[in-house]
Amino acid sequence: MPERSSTPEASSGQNPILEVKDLTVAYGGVTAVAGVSFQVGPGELVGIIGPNGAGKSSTLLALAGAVRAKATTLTFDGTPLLGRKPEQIARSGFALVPEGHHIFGGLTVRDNLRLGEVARRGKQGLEATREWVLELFPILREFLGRQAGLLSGGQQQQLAIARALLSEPRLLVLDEPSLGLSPTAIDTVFDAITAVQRSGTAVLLVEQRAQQTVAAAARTHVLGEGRITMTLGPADATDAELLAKAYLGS
Amino acid sequence: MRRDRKNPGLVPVPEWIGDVWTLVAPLGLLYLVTAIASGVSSSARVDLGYMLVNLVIVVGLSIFVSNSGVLSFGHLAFVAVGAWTMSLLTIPVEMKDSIMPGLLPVLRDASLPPLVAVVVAAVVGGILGLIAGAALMRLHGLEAGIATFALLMLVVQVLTYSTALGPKSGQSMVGIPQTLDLQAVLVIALLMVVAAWAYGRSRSARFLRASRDDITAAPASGIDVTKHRIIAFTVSGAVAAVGGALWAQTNRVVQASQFNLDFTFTTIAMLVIGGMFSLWGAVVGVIVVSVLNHVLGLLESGMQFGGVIVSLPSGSRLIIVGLVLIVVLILRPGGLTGGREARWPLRPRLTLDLSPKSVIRK
Amino acid sequence: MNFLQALIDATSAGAVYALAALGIGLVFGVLRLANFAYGEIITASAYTLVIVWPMNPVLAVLGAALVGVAVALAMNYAVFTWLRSQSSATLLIASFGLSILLQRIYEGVFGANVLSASVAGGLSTSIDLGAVRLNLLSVVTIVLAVLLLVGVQLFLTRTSIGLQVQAASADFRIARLLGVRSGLVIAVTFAISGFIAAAVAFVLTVQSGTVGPSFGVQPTLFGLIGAVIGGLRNLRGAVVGGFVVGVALSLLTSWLPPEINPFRTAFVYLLVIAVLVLRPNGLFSAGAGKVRT
Repeated sequence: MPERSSTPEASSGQNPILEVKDLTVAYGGVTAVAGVSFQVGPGELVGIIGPNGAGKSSTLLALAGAVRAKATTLTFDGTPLLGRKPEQIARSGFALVPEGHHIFGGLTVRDNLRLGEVARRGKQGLEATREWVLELFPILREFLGRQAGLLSGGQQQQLAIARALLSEPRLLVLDEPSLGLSPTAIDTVFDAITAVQRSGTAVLLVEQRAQQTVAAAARTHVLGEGRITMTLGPADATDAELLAKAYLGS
Repeated sequence: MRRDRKNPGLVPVPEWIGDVWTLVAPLGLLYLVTAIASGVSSSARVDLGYMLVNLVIVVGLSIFVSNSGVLSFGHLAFVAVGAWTMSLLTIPVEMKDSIMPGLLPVLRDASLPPLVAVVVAAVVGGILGLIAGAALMRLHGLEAGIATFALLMLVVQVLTYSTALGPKSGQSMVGIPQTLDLQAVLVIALLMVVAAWAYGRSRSARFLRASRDDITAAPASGIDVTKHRIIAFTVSGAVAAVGGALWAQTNRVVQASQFNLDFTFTTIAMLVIGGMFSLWGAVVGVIVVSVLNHVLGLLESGMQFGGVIVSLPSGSRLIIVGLVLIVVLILRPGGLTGGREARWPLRPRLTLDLSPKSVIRK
Repeated sequence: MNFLQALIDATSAGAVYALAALGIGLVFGVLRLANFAYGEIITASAYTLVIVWPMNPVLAVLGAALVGVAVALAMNYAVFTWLRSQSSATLLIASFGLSILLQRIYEGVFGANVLSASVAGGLSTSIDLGAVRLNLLSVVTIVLAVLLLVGVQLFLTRTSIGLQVQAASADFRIARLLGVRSGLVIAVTFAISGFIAAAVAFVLTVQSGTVGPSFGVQPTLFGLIGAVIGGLRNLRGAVVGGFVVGVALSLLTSWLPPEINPFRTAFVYLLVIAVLVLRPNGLFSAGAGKVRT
């Protein structure tokens, strides 16, 4: 596993909010994730990039409790994740925005946002969070009463992220938020993600857009065929050759 | 080609033995159970008669369900039509005049030997299957289930109230001669198993099973799912109607209200407990539920166990069959057979088969 | 005037099946279970009404509601919880088995014959409104149905749990990722469907004054059929479907000439087949929906 010298190590001294060691996911006989290990420290933005079928989504679904997995260590905020139901994990401050955003198209934008509040622990600070989220995505404020299915793809993605943020998560996990979006929409989404991270929430960002991800993240792990093949730091974002190599697999 | 998982170097028995076994096993089991049960007691012989009849009905049902993967709640429509055909063709004319005065003249005068009547029942069932199939076979899932059930209710309503086709509502047809003995019924049942097996090996059935396993891929590959479902529904209707004909001459009293939810449930429970997706499952399910039914029937009439008389309240049969069904669905949703056909039981596998032909086939 | 009377009776018959379809459709939404054993919840409430009413009417109504909810929850925890990952065909078969099983249990406990008692006898009177005689029960049925429909609608849209039920119906997996508790949502849905079953039982026992082991089969059958032709994946469609089936049955009864009147149910089934063939995804589905098998 080639480690780059420029790679910053996980923020030492503090316990990581998410710790993953030797995560394995298999469907039937097919192994999708074969022993992946990484950490996310409090307030950190960590990226995972890799081609289709590299095991990115399976990794995230395993963390969220939506698919069965094995691992030597898998803890969120010190408590083990394995064997817990998705809803328990969500209620412990872990918010996953799955690939393809999956908003509830038949409900209004407002109701979608209200569903994001389900995982909160109590109402304390709810108004402030609502206000902050709507400032982050001003377009949603305009469309609060509109049926969510009528929004554009980029707006739906913003809604999905906003919905996740309303649970006030300590870790926001995003699966390919830029997928299928226009360039301006992608910029909005990336701006929002960095804003979230700056507010102190840890973010785990899975993307196909290597350059933008590597630039934004403290560390970016490259996933290929179910394994981490390389780990990059922000400085590598300008190294086009390296990024290409990361994708094609060395 | 299947390989022995434990001994990857060893090739299983020649495929044709495995194939033939999927026919020989159900036939053999059926024959064995019949031979044993007919020697046990006279009450066992009565229940055996019903078991063979139910077997034909359930095998008919499984021809459609196991190959198409679509559930039918309406196969008793074919059973009813078969029973009706048998009754109308074999009840003596004088008797027909007294219990069914409004009968259509053609039906009043029609009279055929029982075996021929069984064949006619199959034809009538097949025609109904073809017509209903042409209308319903584009439906999937729950809609298909409800539509087939509507078909059953439609047929039952018509048979209940139409005096041109039968007795006045609430009355039954009696006087059906019991001319086919247990031996003859067994032979017919075995033949129906062979028919189901042969159909299962046809190109049409194989296409249908391909669609069952992947409903979205089959149409894309050019398979006309609807057409093959109609074929299956027709064959299946014909066999179920044979079951109805046999039921009529076993029960000897036929009334439209008998084709009700309890009867529907019994046939579906048999199929599902055995395993919905194979002929072997149908046969095993009928035998298991019938044996269970027989034992429970004995218990209902009181049985002595070392000085204690155990007597179940009447009606507990269906309670227990219902429980068994639910437990099977929870623990083993594929049924007792796991939805597979009978597998050659001997280990280690017999011979090494390295002929290229066996590799290319299928 | 005769026409108006027939129309009100038809509306009330439709209301009963619309309620049954609502109870079935709610559970189908979250669990993809077309609960055939819904009828046995109705039957349980009906037995409670018929047995307790002569002693204390208020207790009978409360008891019926409580029994409906309890039986529905018991079904969930005893059977359907264990089958959650199965296909909807498997769930339907299991509920069919449960239905037959419970009918036999009722038969063992209460006997095969019907029990009778005049439940809310006052409601079977008619009121004269000049030219029209109104059956009081028809009016009460319609009012009750409207109240329940509005109540369920408010619950689904105005409460957090209701919203979670809607989310779970739309996409259970995503709902869970948002922290929606699957067990709670399913239990709440079963409880509401049990409560609605009790309302159906009330109307039907007032109408007939009798209850037997298979009392709930017919309303469930027509409710389920209505829900399917209306489109089970869409609760509003399901309710309208149930209503249409009820209205059709009632109007056919009043208008078919006597010689073919016995065939009215046959006509309804023919209609059902026709609708399914012409609109496989339900009367009120928006064009080609997803194919489910």
